[in-house]
Amino acid sequence: MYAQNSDGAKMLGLDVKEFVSQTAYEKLLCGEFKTFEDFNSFVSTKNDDANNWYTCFYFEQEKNEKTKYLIDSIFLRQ
Amino acid sequence: MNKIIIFIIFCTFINCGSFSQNKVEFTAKKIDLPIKIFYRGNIKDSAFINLCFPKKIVYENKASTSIKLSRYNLNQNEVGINNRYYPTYKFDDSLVYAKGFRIEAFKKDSLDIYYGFRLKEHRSKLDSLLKGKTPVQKKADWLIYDIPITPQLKEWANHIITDSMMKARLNFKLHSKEKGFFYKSLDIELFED
Repeated sequence: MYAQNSDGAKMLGLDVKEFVSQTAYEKLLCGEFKTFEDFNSFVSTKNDDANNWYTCFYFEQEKNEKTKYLIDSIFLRQ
Repeated sequence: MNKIIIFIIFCTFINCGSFSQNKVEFTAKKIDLPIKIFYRGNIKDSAFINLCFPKKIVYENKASTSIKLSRYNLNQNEVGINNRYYPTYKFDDSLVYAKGFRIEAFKKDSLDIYYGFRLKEHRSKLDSLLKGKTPVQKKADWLIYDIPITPQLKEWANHIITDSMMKARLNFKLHSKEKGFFYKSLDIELFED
């Protein structure tokens, strides 16, 4: 079972970041983002417009005043 | 007797959950700042822009425990971030990342934000809007311009922003120890008057 949209994500307790650019996707896979803020604040450029876009589902966990973000799945948007 | 005790415990849990949800309030207020246009320049006939509107968000935690504001952003759904079509920024002299923060017990404060929409507009209109203007900020290859709010600008913005875009709401994702994650939302309004 996996989430396909924000309603599905909510049902499974997931959150979702839509329209992740190709550049951000590659940086994410290469471990170039040190924090979720780095990933979420990444601004796409004009070169990304004609490229692929992705949807990233993730869990957010609060423990001992610290926040953990666990990526569940990444889908290529059609 | 056991059933009564179980019922009382159940009611207590339900009340604790709704208590923390209802004890944090958000209200949007008008703020005297220009709108911002994100523009990439060097276009032939039309271009995508981000049109962002200023708003003061007053928040109040009436509970005796702190609540974490995990994120706040404009979107059609309360779950989800869509920075491409609904950019949201905190305003702190310039546009910065809308980072979450902890709202301490019994604290009332405010933050200034900009939220907006990705739109397509003809070059001639953009040229007239941005004529003589200097960018006030740069983000990646976006140049950001301040545009004062005038009756003509209001008319143009109300025309170009569709009803379906206006279905988006300003969503606040919150976390409390009792309730876990929960959401609050505010309807949006481009101009109050």
